[in-house]
Amino acid sequence: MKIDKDLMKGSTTMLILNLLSSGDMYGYEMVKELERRSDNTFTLKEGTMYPILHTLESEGMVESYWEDSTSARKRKYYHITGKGEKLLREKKREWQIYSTTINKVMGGACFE
Amino acid sequence: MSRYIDDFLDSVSKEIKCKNVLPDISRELKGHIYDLMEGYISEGMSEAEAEGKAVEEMGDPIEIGKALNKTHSPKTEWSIIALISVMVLIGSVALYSLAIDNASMLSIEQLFRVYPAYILIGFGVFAVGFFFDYKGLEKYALHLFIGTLVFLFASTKLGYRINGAPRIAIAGLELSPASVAIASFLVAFSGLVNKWAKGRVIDMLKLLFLSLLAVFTCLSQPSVSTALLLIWGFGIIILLAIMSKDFNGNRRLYLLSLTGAGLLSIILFIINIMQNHFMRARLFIFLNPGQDPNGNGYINTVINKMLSGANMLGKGEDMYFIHEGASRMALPEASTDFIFTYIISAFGWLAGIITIAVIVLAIVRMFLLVLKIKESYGRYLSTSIVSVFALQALANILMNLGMFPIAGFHLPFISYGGTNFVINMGLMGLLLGVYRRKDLCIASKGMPHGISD
Repeated sequence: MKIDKDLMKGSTTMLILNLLSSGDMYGYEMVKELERRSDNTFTLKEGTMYPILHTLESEGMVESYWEDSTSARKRKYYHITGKGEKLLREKKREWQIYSTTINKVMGGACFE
Repeated sequence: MSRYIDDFLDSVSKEIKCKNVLPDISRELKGHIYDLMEGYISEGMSEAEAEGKAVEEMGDPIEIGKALNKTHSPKTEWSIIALISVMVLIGSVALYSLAIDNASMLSIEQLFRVYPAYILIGFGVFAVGFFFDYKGLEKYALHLFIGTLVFLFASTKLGYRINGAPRIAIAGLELSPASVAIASFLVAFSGLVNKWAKGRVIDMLKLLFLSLLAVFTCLSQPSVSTALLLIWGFGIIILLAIMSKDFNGNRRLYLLSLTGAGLLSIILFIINIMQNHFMRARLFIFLNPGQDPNGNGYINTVINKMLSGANMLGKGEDMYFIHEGASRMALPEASTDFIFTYIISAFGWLAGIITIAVIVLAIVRMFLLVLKIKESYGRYLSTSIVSVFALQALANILMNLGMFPIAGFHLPFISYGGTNFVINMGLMGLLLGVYRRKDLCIASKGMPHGISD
């Protein structure tokens, strides 16, 4: 099932930081990895991902570097910084409160 | 084969105003498209089909371009510009009030003859620093450093002197060489450190030698305040370099040497002062001005009297004394070094507190700005500018409150002093210019320049 775009919007930054917290990645890798982890439910649109990555970089949440890949072309890898890890923790906490509250209000299953 | 791809990248590029990030962005997006294509081709598509599908997958190029443009657009830090303007305003009001006070040394004619010119030049220099690409300065770091040394040396030989400090005049406007030297030394030293301070001992010794040369040239001016500001600025730049990730040397050893050098220079400084009776009497009198209230302790005695006579709001007492039937302002240099005491005395403590608040706020804002700058040369330069600005302001305020030796520190943007004003404006222009460019050139490490695939 595809998720409504507006629902994804607020959490894209968190998802990107979360991906990077498990290791340095380049853009395409992040899209694929997110699809894999979410069983194809989430697709990161390239058009939203790169601006977010570049903004995160200018805010000092991630850093980037170019590296030779096995194929002929170079790839731009992103690396999460300490500041980025901190933001991720905050976002996660925020998300937990949000999702448990939504579940409570909607009367759905509460995973606690 | 890559018509779609080129069209796509062109559309993205058109939306991005800052052109020097384009190679980096195109390369990144192109890599992504090729990865997508590879995936489709392995699923059995033809190359042309895969290319079309991959570009389609990327989304609307104009939207991407617009979003990227927002990130990579020049940033103007209005809060700091506003705070500087408030400081200039406080200075203007204080100077005007001094000028219309017949008891002061500053006359209206004198103020209006040069002050507006300096303000205009100041804003001009600010604009130059702001719009100029500071990176162009890095190449000339060594030339600039040696040029400044020669300039300082020549000014002691060729310039005339006021109160013992050399001055030179250009087109009728007086110039204090030491103030000019601070700015160009910081610009030059940042460049040299960026080039040399990678950890090799010989390079670090070269930097040490040059900085000592600069400090001693300033001391021989004589300008103790400039020498202190330089030691502080140079120390900060070196500290940043040692702590940076690109530093390959023995970090602990260099940090120890830096701390040692700092302590040693303070000790040598104090010993030097202690041996010179005149200097000792002058510099330490602030601790007990009553010892010599009409000689060395005069200024501190007047300051203490003015401060204790100051009101919360409005004009305080003890600002004047009567000399040959006319009332005279008791405080010398009220328009320059001691303008802060004058502000408190003439407008009340509240005005003094507001002045401090504006300065502290400006320093905090500048410091936060500097933390966001990643490019090393820009970071060295901007951090040293903020540090020197902060020390200058702190020393002046403490000096005005009678808690620091009287050593010729100006209050940036508020003290009357043309060269200082213009130089400080130039430095602020550079600082905000460095920040403005911080996202224009995210130079990703390992980016191959001038190669395209």
